[in-house]
Amino acid sequence: MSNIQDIQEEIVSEFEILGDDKESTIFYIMELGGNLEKFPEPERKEENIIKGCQSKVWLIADEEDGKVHYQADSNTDITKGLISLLIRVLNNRRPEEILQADLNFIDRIGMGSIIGSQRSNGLSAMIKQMKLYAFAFQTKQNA
Amino acid sequence: MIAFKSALDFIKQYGKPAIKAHEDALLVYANESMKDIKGFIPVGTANEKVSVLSFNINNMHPFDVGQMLDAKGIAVRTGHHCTQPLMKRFGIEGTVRASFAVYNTKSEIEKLAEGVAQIARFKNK
Repeated sequence: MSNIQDIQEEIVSEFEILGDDKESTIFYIMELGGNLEKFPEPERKEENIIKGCQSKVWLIADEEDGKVHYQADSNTDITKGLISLLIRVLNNRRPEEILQADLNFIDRIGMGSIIGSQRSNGLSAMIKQMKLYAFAFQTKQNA
Repeated sequence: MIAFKSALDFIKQYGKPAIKAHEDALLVYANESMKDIKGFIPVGTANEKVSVLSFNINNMHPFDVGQMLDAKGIAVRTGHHCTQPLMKRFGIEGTVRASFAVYNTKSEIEKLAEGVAQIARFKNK
């Protein structure tokens, strides 16, 4: 499995192809949401909604073979695309890898100027929740 | 105070009836320009209304539409516009809302319509 930084380099290369074309970049982000696994309907509930996102983003996590497996969905296509990028980088990794991950691809692709400050706050909230899940699993593993 | 006086002078220069006529004409033009766009759903279609056009695009969230219009240099508002009971009545989460004022032009309406049409094609082929 590629390491976190390798995956980030792939993402940065993909976005470099789009250049400064903001419209195409947003379309691309919206299409990325199609990569998400089908979200289990019973988990589409209030307690699984990430706090701090303007849109509704449902995120759950479980542990398989000591690694964190995320599933997510959203009611907006752009947010689906954003969470799918994060899952692509962080999915199926050990909790300590996730907690130590430096998600530099976000700034390198200029995500802030693409999605604006409100959605950037939402993106930060997604990362925080994903890391909180990792922390919880790490704590459980160390118990 | 200085800016307020300038604003009042501006309104007096053109006159409120002329300003209203211009804004009403823009609204009519916007409705005409967009009504046949596949997936375009106007929201709030009262006969008498100020120059705002609220709408949704079928299969798309208003936040996404607003973001894509922003990328085209078109500023709109999105969401519930602090009218949650009204949105509940309509059974929707929110709308995209374009507002037209005395300084807007037909050319800008055309750009809006063109932008909305392109965006609508993404999910309404």
